[in-house]
Amino acid sequence: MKLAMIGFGQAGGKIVDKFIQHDQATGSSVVRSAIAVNTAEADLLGLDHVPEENRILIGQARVKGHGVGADNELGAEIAEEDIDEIQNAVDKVPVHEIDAFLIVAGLGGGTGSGGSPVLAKHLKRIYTEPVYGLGILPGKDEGGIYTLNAARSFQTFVREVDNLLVFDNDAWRKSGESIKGGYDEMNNEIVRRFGVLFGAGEISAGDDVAESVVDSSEVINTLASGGISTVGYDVEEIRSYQSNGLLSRFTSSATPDSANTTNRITSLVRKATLGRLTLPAEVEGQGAERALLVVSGPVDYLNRKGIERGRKWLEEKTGSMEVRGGDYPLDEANVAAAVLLSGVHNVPRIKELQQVAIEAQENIDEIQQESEANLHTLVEDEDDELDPLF
Amino acid sequence: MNLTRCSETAGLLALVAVLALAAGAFGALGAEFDGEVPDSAEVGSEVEVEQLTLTDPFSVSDEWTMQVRTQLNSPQLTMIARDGAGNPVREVDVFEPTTELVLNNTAISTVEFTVRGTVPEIGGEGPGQFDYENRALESINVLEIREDLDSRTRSVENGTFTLHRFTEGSLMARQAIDNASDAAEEANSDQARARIDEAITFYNNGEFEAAAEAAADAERTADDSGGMTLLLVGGVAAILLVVGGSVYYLRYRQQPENKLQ
Repeated sequence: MKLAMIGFGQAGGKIVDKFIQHDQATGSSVVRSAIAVNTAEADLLGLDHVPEENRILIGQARVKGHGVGADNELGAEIAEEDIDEIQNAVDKVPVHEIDAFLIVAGLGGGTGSGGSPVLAKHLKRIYTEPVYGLGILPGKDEGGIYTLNAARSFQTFVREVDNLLVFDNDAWRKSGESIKGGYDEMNNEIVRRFGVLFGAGEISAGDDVAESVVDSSEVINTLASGGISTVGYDVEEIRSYQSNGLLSRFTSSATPDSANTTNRITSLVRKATLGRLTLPAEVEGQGAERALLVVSGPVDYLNRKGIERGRKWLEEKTGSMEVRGGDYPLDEANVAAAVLLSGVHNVPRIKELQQVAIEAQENIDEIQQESEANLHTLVEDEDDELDPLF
Repeated sequence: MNLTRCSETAGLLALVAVLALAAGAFGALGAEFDGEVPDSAEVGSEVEVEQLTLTDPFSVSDEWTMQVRTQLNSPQLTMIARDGAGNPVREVDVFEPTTELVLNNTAISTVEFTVRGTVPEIGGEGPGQFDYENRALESINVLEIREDLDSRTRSVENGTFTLHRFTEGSLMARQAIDNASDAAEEANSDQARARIDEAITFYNNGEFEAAAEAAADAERTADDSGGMTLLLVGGVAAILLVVGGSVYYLRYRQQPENKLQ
């Protein structure tokens, strides 16, 4: 699957940067075009891989390149005002070569949180290609304003995109690890999971061809349910595996046992689905509208039976009738299962986020009112004997 | 037994015996000395050899006449033959470059030599000549002991003591050439070697300042060339490192990272 990626705001830009790096390092070709949009010049300068001509600084007239300071309403306003500048960069994207747009943004901040729904609305109006969002939810301890921003942006972003893939920073924060310290590792997680999903079916010459190919149309059809998606992932190392490198010509690697291979795959599918999802969700019952299973690894370690069993298990577990599945052969000593659950409904974290946001909103209003009253009491004299200058 | 064969064998044995005797006679010519003689001295300086003792005079011959020579200028040669108890048996003391001592008294057990004199100049009125590569031409015999046979004399083995001569200029020039030669060999510089040959020619002509100058020049050339060689080696190493690094990096880039883990 080939994507035009647009990183909006600081987190979005960094993740797109990482996607390009991952593409280069692994020899994949998921990112066909990459654009980074920001109101803060420093954040754009900090990117390493996004081409300089595709780094778009917006809102210079309003914030002079210093960012919007976590004010996502201002972020949205600026995006609307400067949408033509973003469009100029999007114009350079060879749209006929891409399968979809992916707008990546952190939802807790200002620029990406406010701007990405605006851009999604704009792109959907102009292009026929699907427009997906990849939204990053802030950690619980990042502060009330970020939670409020995320809740408001989330609502709008879901409405404006064809599907919103969500990654919850809070679910991925290790105990004792600061949010900042863990950002890099989280971004790696994001890129690895979505890299496998979007990379499936992108076979270059010389690669093994899958038995049941996961094409970009499978991904698009799975995401066509709309709403929110989450991704599960699990990987197991094969210690005895010899890569198809120079050495393997002189060493014979035994063909793996079929029963073991099947069991490994079903076990991986279960762990991927019930383990850590990018957005923790209840999958049992009518947990997801659609699902896609991609099993990846050396061709000898992928078998139709295992994938079929995994797919069946997903159908039973989620109650969905639209579970697609396929393999993605890769010459490396790991077998991995990636599960895309699309149209998930039962997401306690979102409800919790909204609750905290409502409380934060009320608190903010209350504090603002109180603060106005307090200021009045402080400044004005009791009997109103003093007159202001003018 | 064949008679002819027998006589042949006897002849062979006789030849071996004669050869053995001759070897014994030559071996007996070797002399043993106690004491030391200086090995180098500056032209014009006073040299004195003292307490040089011939320990077994009759190992040279049973009865023989010892001729003693020196090439020192204004020489004084003294010889004292002593018996086993150390008492002088015979004494010779001359201000001549050559003298003799007859050794026909078996009571003589040792002969003591004393030589004094001035180091003669090299070339000109003195013996020898300046020659950087052949030090022997710059040396003189400070003491030479010969056996006087009736019609001729012959050298006594181990009985010649040489002294290398130098002047202030020649010493300085020789040291400069030595240093330059080391540097040239180390740097393997032909340019420096050519300059050293010039320096040697100057030296052999007695033009020591020019020799020293040429040698210093050669040393500089060698050092520069050594530096250049080092730089060249460093450059080649750096290029190899860059090329190797690039190849490794390209291979590393071509080998995809793990996508799954």
